[in-house]
Amino acid sequence: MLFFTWTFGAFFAIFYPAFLLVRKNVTARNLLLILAACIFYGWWDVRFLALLAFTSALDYLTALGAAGHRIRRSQLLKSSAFLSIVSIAGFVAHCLIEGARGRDPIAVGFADAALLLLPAVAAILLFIVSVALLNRVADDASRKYRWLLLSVIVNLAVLAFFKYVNFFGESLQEALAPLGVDLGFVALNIILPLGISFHTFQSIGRTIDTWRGKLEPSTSLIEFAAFLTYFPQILAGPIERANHMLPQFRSVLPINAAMLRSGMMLFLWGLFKKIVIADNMAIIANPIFDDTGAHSSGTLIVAALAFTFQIYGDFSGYTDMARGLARLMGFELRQNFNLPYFARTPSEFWQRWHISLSQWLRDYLYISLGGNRGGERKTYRNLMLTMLLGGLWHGAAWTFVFWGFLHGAIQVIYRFFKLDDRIEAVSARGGIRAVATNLVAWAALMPVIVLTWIYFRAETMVEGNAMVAGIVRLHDLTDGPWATWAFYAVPLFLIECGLRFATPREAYARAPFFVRYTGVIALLFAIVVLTAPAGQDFIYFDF
Amino acid sequence: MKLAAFARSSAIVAALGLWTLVFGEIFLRLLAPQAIMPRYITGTDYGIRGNVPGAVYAHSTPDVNVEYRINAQGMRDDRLFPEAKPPGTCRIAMLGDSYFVGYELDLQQSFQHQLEQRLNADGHKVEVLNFAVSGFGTAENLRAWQAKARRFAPDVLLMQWQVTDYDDNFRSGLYKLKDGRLEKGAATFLPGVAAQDRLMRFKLYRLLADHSHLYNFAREQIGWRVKQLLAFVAKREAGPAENEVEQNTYVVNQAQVDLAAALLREARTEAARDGATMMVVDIPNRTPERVFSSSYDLMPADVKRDLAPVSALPAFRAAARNPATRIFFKNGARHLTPLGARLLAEEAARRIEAANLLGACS
Repeated sequence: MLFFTWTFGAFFAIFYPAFLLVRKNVTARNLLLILAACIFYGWWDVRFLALLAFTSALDYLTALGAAGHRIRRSQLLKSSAFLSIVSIAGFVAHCLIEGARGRDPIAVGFADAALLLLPAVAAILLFIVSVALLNRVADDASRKYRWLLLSVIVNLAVLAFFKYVNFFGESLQEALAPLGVDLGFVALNIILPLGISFHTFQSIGRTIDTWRGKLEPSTSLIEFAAFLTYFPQILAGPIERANHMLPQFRSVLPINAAMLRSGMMLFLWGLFKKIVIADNMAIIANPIFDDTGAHSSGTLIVAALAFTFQIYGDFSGYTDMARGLARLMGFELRQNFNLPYFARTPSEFWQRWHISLSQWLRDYLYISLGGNRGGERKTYRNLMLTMLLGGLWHGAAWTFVFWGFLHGAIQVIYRFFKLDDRIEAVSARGGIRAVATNLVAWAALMPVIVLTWIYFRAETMVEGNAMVAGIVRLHDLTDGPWATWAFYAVPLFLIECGLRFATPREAYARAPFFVRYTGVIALLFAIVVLTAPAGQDFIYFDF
Repeated sequence: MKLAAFARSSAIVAALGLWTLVFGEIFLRLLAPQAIMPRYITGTDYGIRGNVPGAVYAHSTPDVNVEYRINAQGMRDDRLFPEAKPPGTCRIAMLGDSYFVGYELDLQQSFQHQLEQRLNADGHKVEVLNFAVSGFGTAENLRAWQAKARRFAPDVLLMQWQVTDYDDNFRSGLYKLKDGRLEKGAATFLPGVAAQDRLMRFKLYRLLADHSHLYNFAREQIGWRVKQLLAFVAKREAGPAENEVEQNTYVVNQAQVDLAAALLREARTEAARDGATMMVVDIPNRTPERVFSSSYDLMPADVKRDLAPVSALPAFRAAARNPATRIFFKNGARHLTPLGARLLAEEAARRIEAANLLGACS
């Protein structure tokens, strides 16, 4: 269910009044949010509701265990019951949906029962055995660590199964083929659950936080499940931190006119970035990326620039819509993008781009690897490893790994030459020199960022290399749909310039009502009139 | 006091509303100029839509600016035609929708004109009478034949076919199939005509329809969505979803195919009874862009055999191999370009001559 479809409009039109009715009763509100999440997520595929319930139930228990609690029977019972109810509901919905499609629902039930219900039974057994074994461990630290390991291993195993098993199987087979070794690996027909990377990371993060003692885990499964499955951000983040979000699920949240206004504006701004900017950029980029060989350097550069704006509009647009929707409900999701294409250094780029992921990787991977505590070499190694894994997080393909490698490499280079510090030092002094330094630093970084996006977008490394080779030929640079690209890119860039600098931003905020009203209707007309003819799915749903 | 506050608030709201409309007009003109395509359509005494007699209006799109002149008989033509056919002259009647009206084409570039020119150049004495009205489907074509076109004693009837006719025929309700037999349905089908007639009395409305980008944008968007909705409802009314067939991006119910086939058979029979030979002229689908196909392929075998369509598909496909050529306009309402109309007219002339349909009248 995409935010910009009529289906979602109808869903939200039914959900929101119900939400307003129950919002002052925290338990009822959280239950309604879980139900809404099941409908929202199940609209894509009801069979995977069980997976969401499994993650919720598992991490409910593991977080309690990792915080040092001994799991009580009632808690085990609650998590097992939750998993059972959601799994059975998903199974029944699946049979009914197939029945509506003309199949015999009873026959569907018999055929798919094993596939859909047995994993839930196995999961409940896993809970029982884990609780029985780990509750007996006397040493507190050891017990907490084992609960943490259980969470990390099981969550990553689920992620690996759905996302990476074919990639690693096929890659290993290809690597061993020259040696005459045939593994006989046959690619499995696996559906990638939407948003699995996001909610897996969110869930693991929370367990690690409780193990580190930064967070007292909730004893309420409803509260935790509502947090983990919160529908505005379940499919593509932001990857929320429990210490930021869980308190919001524990209390009655105020909703006032200012929040409603800013929530709606944020949603509209996200909608504009998605369906006007990103989707129109996709019309430029897609045919060129699909056939890189047939184009001039100019056309290839436009395609790369178009994708650069497409992915930004797509992902930051989704995030803004999610944050806007959440704000309408009184929730505050964290900022995930902060004008990333104004970054001057790679590390600044990662402080502005997909902030929730880069902070997750920093806190749970980079720091766990040792961060910058073991000298320069280890810092470089940790940076590279973090970025490589960050690349792999995006998708099971060597193009993503290479994308991560490129980002790791430029960070290492900047760090080696201490460019971040130098740019920052000059910038801090102010004056013309600071402006010039910032401009040069920005102009030097951006082409590299665009280059990395080429590999991110390419289907294969060969395709990415062909595109780069075509660009560096520097043949016919004025060729290509530059005007169409500029028509969408330049206004966005100018608006973001206005947001980047305090003077225009504050001037707009202080402007007379008439001016601000005109800004809003301009946005609305742009959304209505300039929407791309063919809507595209959100890119990050694939991750 | 309260009244004054209410009046002030109302004035502010009205001023903001007006500013929104003015801003919208400016926004569209600057950033997304629209095709200005007013429809000068009214009701007729035979219960369906017709062109407004004597109307002169213009369409303006990013590709073309075209003036339309409708004669006093409701045809797009500068001539008037007596009902009695002049001796030694052959008459060809055209029935169809905006493609046959020649939307986005000057009269000299239109299918009707190019066909007439071509046949006259080949030594025939031919008058092409254009009874087409924007929005018509086969059911309205048949009704227009019965009520009007037949009176002009045509020798040939060219009936346009395109994929939207499957929906339009069903939606109009003018004819129904009962136990496989075609029966008359509703006496009238005049969608939006009463409202349009009333609005057209106002000069301000005509000004908006003829010049406002915002109005034309809103009308096209709303019209298109309403049409989509009605087509969806028509499909559901036509029969269960499992009877639907898909061709490219179009979904058609088998009941819609059956009704269209019955209407074409009936039109052919009636035309023959009136002494005219009917031919179907197929306007190809073009989805994806520049890939042409025919929705007529869905018709039953007997219709395809007895009413083999005039099809410019091979000519369109050959022309489309040159990326610089356009068979349909890219913007506006994406009707035939002068080249598309010419290729279609040449194929129609070839078929008419090959079948010697003008032998008896000229």
